[in-house]
Amino acid sequence: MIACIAILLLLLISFIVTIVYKYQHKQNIHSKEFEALQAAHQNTLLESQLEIQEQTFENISREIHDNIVQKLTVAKLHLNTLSTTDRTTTIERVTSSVHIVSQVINDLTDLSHSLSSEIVLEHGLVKAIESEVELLGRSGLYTMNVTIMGGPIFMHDKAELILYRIFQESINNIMKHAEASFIKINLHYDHELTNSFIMEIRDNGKGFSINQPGSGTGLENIKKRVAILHGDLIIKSCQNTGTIITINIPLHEKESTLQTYPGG
Amino acid sequence: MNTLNNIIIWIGSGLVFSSFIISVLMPTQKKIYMKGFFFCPFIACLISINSISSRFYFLYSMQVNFLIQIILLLCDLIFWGVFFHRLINMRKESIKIVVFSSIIFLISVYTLYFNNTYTPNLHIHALSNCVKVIFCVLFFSKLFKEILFKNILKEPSFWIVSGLMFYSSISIPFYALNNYIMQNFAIELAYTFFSISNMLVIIMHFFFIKSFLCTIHLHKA
Repeated sequence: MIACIAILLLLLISFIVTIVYKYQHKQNIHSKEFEALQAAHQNTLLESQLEIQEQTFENISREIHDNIVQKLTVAKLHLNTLSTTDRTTTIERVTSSVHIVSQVINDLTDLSHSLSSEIVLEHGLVKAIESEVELLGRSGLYTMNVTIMGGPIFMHDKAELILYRIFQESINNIMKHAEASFIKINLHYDHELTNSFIMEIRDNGKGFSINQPGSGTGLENIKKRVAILHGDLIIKSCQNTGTIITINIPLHEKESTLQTYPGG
Repeated sequence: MNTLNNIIIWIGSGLVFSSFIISVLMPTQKKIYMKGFFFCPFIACLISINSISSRFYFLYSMQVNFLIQIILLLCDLIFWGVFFHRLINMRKESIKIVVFSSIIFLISVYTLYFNNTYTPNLHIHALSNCVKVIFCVLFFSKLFKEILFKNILKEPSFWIVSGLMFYSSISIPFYALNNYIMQNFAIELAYTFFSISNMLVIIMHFFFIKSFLCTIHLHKA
């Protein structure tokens, strides 16, 4: 009987040792796989960030080339062809040049504002979007409407900035391609049900086919930015009825400050 | 041999009682499946008291002893069903647990109803242990599939399931063959089998005590 119990105990010990050894072996493999996945994810994020940065530089370059340089060239032409004899034409040309230079200054200020992250970081996403909407509304080209639901909170700086850039990219796409007259922006801070932030941008433009080739870089940028935030992107578009872009990201309040939202 | 068997029963009963006391005192907040775990050593205590009452003090007949034993065994099976349901917490596995528990429960009730209870029905023990082994295999398969714990040796469920698996799997042949051996071989061999299965219970309760110590460690952490 003692021999039998000794054998059983030996069996038990070997069972425990085998299980623990196998488990630890599997755990090591698992942690290595997890680390590799994490590294791959970090790489993808980095690549996306670089691509987005590159795209931003391209946009700035295009803006300078297509708008500012053109205007400055016209101003330069006006100033080069000043005549000392014809006083009236000279005054007209100088006045026109001054007007063009003022426009260029305004454009550069707008560009600088839109590129700057200061407004988002200091006043938050809602304020930044409202200010951008006000600016666009002043142009008279669009009827703009912003609705905020739930109690706005300050999210992490990075998240707010990326959301702001997504918003800008979407508006940019509408301005460039949609031929819309109405833009509606819904911001929903859902603290209770899904604990997520939903940003919806809809327009009444001509719409587009999502699978259409070349409907591309802007949307790709938005997708990449949403992926950085671990969010979901839904695009619905119908020909001649408009487009709805919905971004849904997990809602995490900024922890390091005691900032409270204006009016919140 | 009978004396050795009696000593093992007394030692086992003492250990089971200690296990019950520790399980009542241990903190269970950190692990949901540990809530109500005291019920397992409590049933084991009742089984021990039942054996001692009829075997040593002759308070009631062996038939009543066997009847009580099977009823307690059913309670034990229900306990393990609930325990594994909480522990594995997966829809698919939980369905399997419910199905297996129900089958064995029905078989046990059927046997209880038709059995004359003049001999201990150890086949029911063997059958219920088969189900427990299946539960344990489900747990280990989940454990290896999902790598749930950082340090398996500090995980109470690992010790509980290992102890249960060890006891259940090894005791199956002892319980299954006990009646046959009693009828066809010397009674000493049957007593040896009985002693070994009681030793297995003691080892299982050592594992339970180890798991309670892990729970205390977790609570402090």
